[in-house]
Amino acid sequence: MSAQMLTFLSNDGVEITIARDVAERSVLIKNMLEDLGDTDEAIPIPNVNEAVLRKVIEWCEHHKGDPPSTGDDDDSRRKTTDIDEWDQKFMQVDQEMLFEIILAANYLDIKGLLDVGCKTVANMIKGKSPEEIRKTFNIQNDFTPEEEDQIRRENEWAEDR
Amino acid sequence: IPEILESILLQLDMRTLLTAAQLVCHEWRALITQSCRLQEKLFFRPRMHGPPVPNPLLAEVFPLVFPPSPPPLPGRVALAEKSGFRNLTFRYLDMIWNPRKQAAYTRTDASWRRMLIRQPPV
Repeated sequence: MSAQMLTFLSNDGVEITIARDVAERSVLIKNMLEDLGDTDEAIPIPNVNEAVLRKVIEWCEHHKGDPPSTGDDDDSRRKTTDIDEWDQKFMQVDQEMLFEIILAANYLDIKGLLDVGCKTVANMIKGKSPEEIRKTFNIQNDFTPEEEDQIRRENEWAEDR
Repeated sequence: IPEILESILLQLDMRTLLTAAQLVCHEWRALITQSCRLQEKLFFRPRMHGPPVPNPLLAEVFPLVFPPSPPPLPGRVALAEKSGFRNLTFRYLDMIWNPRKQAAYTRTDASWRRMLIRQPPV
């Protein structure tokens, strides 16, 4: 008999108990449970703090009925900017939290959440100039003016009219 | 983390990826030129599977070359040229229509020259 509830321990020491089917949206946890069998002990999640873990769980609960990802990596059938409304609202967090969610989704191997996170960031980049992108993500321009000029000229034909 | 940045950039439209993302910093530029999947997305590197997709940027600036208009029969091309019809259409190519962009198109290192017109290539 597998336990219906599981307890997790965030890296800042908070225990969170959730339903097993919700937790199994994470491929990492699903595989771990298969390997280790049942446990009553709290499972430590060393890379994720409580605030982020709660967000991740909120997403998993909302999406627990979704069909499991088919592993079909071809993005041709889903449109790039398509994010459902609930996910858009869910992702309205500050940039630090957004990146923490993406890192946690990557670590916990939750493909759907990772996808939504990456799309959200991509939407923040779309249509911006290089300088605007740098400003948005606080990136240093480390090109020499010559390098920058060379790359720009190669692709100038495709710039917005 | 490069894998995550790659996933993010794969969600971009081709124009932003080509004209803006490459100019952000060395790290982004290197990732875009070295990632197979990003090079496929930019039609620089052939993709060997998947449904056929025409290069959307080239389709926009060189509409004459692309379907849906079926390729005219050879005889008709000659006829159209005689009637001046083809010249008329050429005027609407971005590189003709936009005089200030002619230099950008005619550069020998302009990146469109290296692009495939569809994926997977014929």
